[in-house]
Amino acid sequence: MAHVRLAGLRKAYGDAVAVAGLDLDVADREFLTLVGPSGCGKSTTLRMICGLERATAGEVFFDDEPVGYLPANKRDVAMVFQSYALYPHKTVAQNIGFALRMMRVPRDEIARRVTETARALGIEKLLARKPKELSGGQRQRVALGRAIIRDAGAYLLDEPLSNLDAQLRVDMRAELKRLHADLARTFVYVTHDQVEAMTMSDRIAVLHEGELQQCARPEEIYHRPANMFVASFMGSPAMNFVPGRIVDEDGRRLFRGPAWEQELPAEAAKVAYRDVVLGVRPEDLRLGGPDGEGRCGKVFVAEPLGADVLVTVDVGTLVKARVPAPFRASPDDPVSVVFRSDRLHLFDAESGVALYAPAHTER
Amino acid sequence: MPKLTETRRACLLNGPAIVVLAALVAYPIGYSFWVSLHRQNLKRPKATRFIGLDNYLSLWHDPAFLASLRTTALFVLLVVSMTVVLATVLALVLNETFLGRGVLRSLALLPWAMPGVVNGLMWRTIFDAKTGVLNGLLTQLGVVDHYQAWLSSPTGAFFLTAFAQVWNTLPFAVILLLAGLATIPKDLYDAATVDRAGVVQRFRQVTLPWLLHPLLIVLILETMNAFKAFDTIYVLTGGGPGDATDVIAVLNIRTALTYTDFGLGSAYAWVITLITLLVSLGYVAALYRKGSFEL
Amino acid sequence: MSTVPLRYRLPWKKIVVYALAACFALYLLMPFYWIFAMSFMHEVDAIAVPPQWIPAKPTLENYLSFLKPNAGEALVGGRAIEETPFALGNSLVVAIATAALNLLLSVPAAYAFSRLRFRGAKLLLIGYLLTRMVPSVAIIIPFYLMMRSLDLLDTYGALILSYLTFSLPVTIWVLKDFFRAVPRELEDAARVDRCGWFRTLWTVFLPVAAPGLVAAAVFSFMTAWNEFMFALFMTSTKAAKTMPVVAANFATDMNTQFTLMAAAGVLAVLPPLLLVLIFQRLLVQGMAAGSVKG
Repeated sequence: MAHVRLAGLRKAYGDAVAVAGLDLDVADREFLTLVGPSGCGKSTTLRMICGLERATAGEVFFDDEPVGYLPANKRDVAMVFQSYALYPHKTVAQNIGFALRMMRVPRDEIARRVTETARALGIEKLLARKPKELSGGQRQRVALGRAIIRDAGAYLLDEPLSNLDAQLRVDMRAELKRLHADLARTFVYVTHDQVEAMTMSDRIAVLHEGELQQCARPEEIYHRPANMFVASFMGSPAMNFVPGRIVDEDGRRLFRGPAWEQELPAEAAKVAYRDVVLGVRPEDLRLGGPDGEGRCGKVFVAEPLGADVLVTVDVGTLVKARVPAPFRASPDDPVSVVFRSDRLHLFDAESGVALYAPAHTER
Repeated sequence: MPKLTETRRACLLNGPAIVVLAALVAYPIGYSFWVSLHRQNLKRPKATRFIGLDNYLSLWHDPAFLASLRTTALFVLLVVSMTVVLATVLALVLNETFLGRGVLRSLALLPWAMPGVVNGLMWRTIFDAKTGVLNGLLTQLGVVDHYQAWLSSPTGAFFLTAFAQVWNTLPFAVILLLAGLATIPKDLYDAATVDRAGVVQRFRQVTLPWLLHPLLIVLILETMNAFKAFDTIYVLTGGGPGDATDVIAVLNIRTALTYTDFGLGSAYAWVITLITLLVSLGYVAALYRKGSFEL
Repeated sequence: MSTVPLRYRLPWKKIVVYALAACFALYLLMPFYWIFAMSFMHEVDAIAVPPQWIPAKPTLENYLSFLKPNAGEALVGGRAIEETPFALGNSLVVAIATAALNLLLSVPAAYAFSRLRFRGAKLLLIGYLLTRMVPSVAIIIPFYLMMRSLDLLDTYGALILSYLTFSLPVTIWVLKDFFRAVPRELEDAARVDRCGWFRTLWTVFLPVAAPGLVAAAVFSFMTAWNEFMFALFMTSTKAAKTMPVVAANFATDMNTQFTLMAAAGVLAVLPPLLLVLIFQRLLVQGMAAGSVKG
């Protein structure tokens, strides 16, 4: 059981800053995901929590005990590696039980716990095999087993699903989430995949260039992104952005840009006059026939996804709309486009900071 | 655990190896130079005295040394060119798929396991004037009508010695070239074929450019090896007949071991060392360009 | 259904490849086959004209004569025969000791190159390489003088020390490449699994790098086993003479029986040959990676 706290955690390699002063609280039994594009410092952060990397500055606390001075083998952590890092010269059983052996747990107890863990992961038939005789998914389970057999304060997972094929990844995602519920331990999970982050986490911490962008519950991250980076990184396809200004005309508050013009909801009134970027998620666009309400545009391309159709529309700039199937359109067909006015986001054009986001309600 | 910087730890870990090599290589080389500045003969220890660069100066009037330099140059040229050509062909063959490739691959390593001395001894029985199988084979094939004393003619001895040396050093070159061939992406051949390149064009446009670097490495290493060649020649001909195969290493060892002239022997050794080091600088540069020193 | 006949073309490429492969196979095998066959022949058969390609009356007599040192005196080349069993033992001891010492010294050095970033790493690596390039003739005279003053002439010590000089740099280079191929995450995993620094090295890193250790050990074993020049200089009696020296004695003795010489040659070739055949893949990998071994 551990509550993990990072205080001003920083890592620099010479002049290159990997993590720039990170403050983060992971509650006991929480599933927290560090997400961001490659090179954002998420893996470095995880390795500092683990003790594999020494922080340049700042401190890591486990249950308010500073542990920064402890190497990985003295910290109360278990880890799942991206490449699985299974010991190739040891059998599955030896791999899973290795840490217990190092901790001088009696042999019969190791055997018992290995069998138990293997059964929980459905790999009890593989215990005598060597890692190279396993499939990717099986290796992944062994790597998981090696971590969960431990009675560790924190479980650290470094992109554990990224080497699996798409179908298996979806299955393992659900299993991992269930595993967390069953184990009731603190999980810190690193991924670059926003879907994994959204689906599994209690809270998500979005990192970019070594800095924390936002740390909040998944719904909050999705519906009230703190800035343009979070807005564009979380969600697929990404949020549409349209630059422009806010103007008052005839007592109405309007967004006006070279490509788009639209009335803003009353709640947006607090936003002062300035250059802004209007953001709207693809599912918050409505498309209609050529004579429908809204502004006119031309279909650039339509990509059917099955249940939905992803339509790229040229309204002076390209925007993506996700509309329910069936939607048939050929390139250059005229359409009308509406941005749902209760779903608009406004960002400061210069800093990218969110100025306005709709209150999060069920749609 | 005491905190050590990585450089400190690396020094500690490399320390034993560095000490051993300093004591067993660096020191002897320096010592060798010191000896080369003396008149020093093991059989006349009392006559040892400092003579400066006289040993080196006398090299230029030493017919044995000058002849040996010429022999060595020819020997290196012959051995290296034969090795490179044979190794390239063999590597290209081994790079193809055919029945028995595995067997040929193993066979190609056989000469590498052969100690130079045994190599020399083996070829000596084969080239033997009265009973050798080379004579037997050529007679049976009708190439020659009676047994020849191959190793008695200077030219014959020279070529056959080179031939024996090539047999011994071939595997090393083949392995390096095969490794080079293995790095060529198969896609390149497919792309070239789609682009309508024929067999010859594919070799010139795809294989050759990728093989250039391994070839350079092979060229340099085989040059150095041929330059240092000793074991095979010592057993096969001992430098004879006359001085036909008296390459510099053989001359050097004879001077030191048989005549126990350590002063002059060391001077020879230093000339050899300087030439080898010059060649090896080329090697280091070639490896450097390939990025072998990247850490 | 009508079939369009394929235009038949001679598979030229196949023909050429097979023809060349056959030529090379003969070239590579025949010389060795001949001394191998000869070592099982009676002297009269070995020198028969025309040659007997397959021993008609195979015999073990040549090999057995090495086991009867006294019988050797009756034969020509008697001393070499008598020394052969000792030389085999000497070679074995010297080669194994060289391999072991090599690993002991080179594992830490190669580990540093594969896992630490340190100043002067490149320079040191080039230094090792240049050490390797130093021709043996360059150090043989001072080495002889050093060994003489240490009273080590004609002992294993002199040979082992001298073989360290050629093989240590090669071993470091070969091991460094093998070590680098060991994924760092394995060591990280071991740390998380509560292994200390030494534990990680001993239970995870070295076992995973074992192929490299084997390759390096075999390389240095072979270097030591095959070496001739130093052995010729440093040894004089059966106390330390190695197999190549004794084999050379057979060859330089004009009266030697060819069959005995062939048997000695086969004995001298057998250990390295077996090692090469057993560890073929590893050695090729190591050689290509280090590209240093001559």
